[in-house]
Amino acid sequence: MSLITETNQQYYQGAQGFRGDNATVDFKTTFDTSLILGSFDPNDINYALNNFKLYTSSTGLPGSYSEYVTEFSVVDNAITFLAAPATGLYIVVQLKKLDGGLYGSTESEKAYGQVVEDNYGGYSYITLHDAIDNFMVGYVGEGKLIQKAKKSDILFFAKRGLQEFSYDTLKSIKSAELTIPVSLTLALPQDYVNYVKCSWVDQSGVLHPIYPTNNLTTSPYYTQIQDSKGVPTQDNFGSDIEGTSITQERWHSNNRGNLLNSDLSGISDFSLNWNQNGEWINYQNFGQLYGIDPQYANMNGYFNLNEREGKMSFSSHLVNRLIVLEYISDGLAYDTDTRIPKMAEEALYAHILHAVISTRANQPEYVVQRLRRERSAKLRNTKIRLSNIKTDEITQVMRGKSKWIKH
Amino acid sequence: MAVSVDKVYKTVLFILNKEQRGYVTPAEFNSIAEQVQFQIFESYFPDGNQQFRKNQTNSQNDTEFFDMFKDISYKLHPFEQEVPFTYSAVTGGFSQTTPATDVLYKIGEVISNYTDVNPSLASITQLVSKSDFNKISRSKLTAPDNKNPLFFTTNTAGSLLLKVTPTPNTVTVNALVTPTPPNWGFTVGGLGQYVYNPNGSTDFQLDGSEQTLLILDILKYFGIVINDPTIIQAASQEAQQMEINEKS
Repeated sequence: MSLITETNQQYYQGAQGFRGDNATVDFKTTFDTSLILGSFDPNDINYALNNFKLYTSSTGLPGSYSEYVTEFSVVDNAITFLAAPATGLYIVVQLKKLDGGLYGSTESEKAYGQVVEDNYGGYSYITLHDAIDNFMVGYVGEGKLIQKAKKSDILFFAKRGLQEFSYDTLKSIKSAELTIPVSLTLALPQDYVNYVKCSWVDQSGVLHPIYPTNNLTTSPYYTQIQDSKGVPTQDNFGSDIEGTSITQERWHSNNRGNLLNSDLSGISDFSLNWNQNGEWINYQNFGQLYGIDPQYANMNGYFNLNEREGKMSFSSHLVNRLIVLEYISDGLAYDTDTRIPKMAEEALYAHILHAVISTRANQPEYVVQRLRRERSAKLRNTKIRLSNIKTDEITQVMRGKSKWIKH
Repeated sequence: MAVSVDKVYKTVLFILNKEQRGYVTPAEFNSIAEQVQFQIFESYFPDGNQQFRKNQTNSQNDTEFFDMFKDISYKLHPFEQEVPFTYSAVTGGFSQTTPATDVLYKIGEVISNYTDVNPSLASITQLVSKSDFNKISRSKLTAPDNKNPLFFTTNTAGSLLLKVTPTPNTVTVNALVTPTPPNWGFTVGGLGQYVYNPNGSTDFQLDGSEQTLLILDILKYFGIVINDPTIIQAASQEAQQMEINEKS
């Protein structure tokens, strides 16, 4: 069985057509995407949940299609009409698409959404569910290294593997475009595990990296209210009373001139002003032009993590700026059908195999070690593959350096 | 192919009469035949397990007709069925649909069918102990969902109850049922003799390859019934030789 089951039309247009024969009431769709039907009725609030629209036409000519809003249902990805459509009637299921698809005649009839685009590029991934099924077929059973395994064990090791891969192997870097509010703090994204990079975006869309505050400031975890003797005070329930952080308040109220130069260093020997697309950028670097301390040689601003509140805090001159926060998640946040790049598939199998054998009693140590080395080698291969190292691109980068690389 | 009860009965009688060791009534035969059929049926499980263990030494036999593990598995085919189970809101589980036509012996793979979701799912369901169920369902990484459902077994009024999580719409249970007792049916002839009646008879459900073992084992029991140790000895030796050949 080939792995691609969708037709070109289903993949690119998100559409699948049928013809009525006055007898058939069920029309089974074969998209990779499952149909979601909230309601057939556009006046129903659940209609917005639909991920597709249904059109019919008696001629099949462009512009002749109209949306079908009479009652129908979806069972097992099959559209079921109450009565069999007339013989020769053209029926089209159109998944929602950014351009609305080809069949709606009016703006309200077009199928606007992002369902088709979500499926683009899907061939380079495999779902976790499929990976586990494949593992059970290929590695578990009579005469194999794992004679018997609970599926829940395999599920556990697969998910743990995916989490570990997500941190440093997979291309699972997520990014959020956010505007920094007056409070200078932003809640961490729901599936945040760690940050990769944070940058502010200028008028040209160019990213300027923002660095962590390092030793400049911090967001204290405990901010107890103290009495005159310095002892924390408690509420009626016996718990310490927490106040707001004065450290953070001072950090936020600093203007960038104070922060970056005079108050802290007392020396203002390096400043820079430039105009970029009408926006005046005026920076004075904390640090020195001569004997500069690189960790503070940053004119783009600072952020720090407020672990107590689960927020990111930014330096004052970044207020109202657009930032892009790139972060990593663990790949399991939303769906058990999490996607794994096919280039990491073999490494995931090797990870599960090693994990199962190494946690099992009475396994020969040489087998465990062999599997550990296999896992390590396959993971390294995956990292290299996913690093997208292309000879031409490296050569292009190195052309600007003092060394010429022949290729 | 099932073993003909008439053929077995007549062969047993033939051997016993030839040796002048007495006569066996149909009632005696039916009773012992049921016992022997069940005994052979139950021997498949330790035998299969023994053959499976041999595979662990990587000494598999992949020939078409001489793979003993496969052959033993094949011999179970007359007893393998999809047994209907029905959900009861009172018990919160699935029990065998009544009236049950077959008596359950062992349950095998359980498929949970979820038809309320789109697309509908038919998920392999993992059997776990109640203790494991409590642990597995508490871990967020392994908690059962409709793609990875779990079930444990308990009972309701003495019959098997499957508690599946999350509860599916229906379950498909592959199971082994206990063998139907063989019966050599007869009518009484004009001379008072027993005449075989195929319509009132039930053949052995065992595979045709078990005919020799069936006859030998029945003969063993009749050696006891008619108190003749030579029959027991001869039949036992023959059966033992067969077993040695099969398992070595």
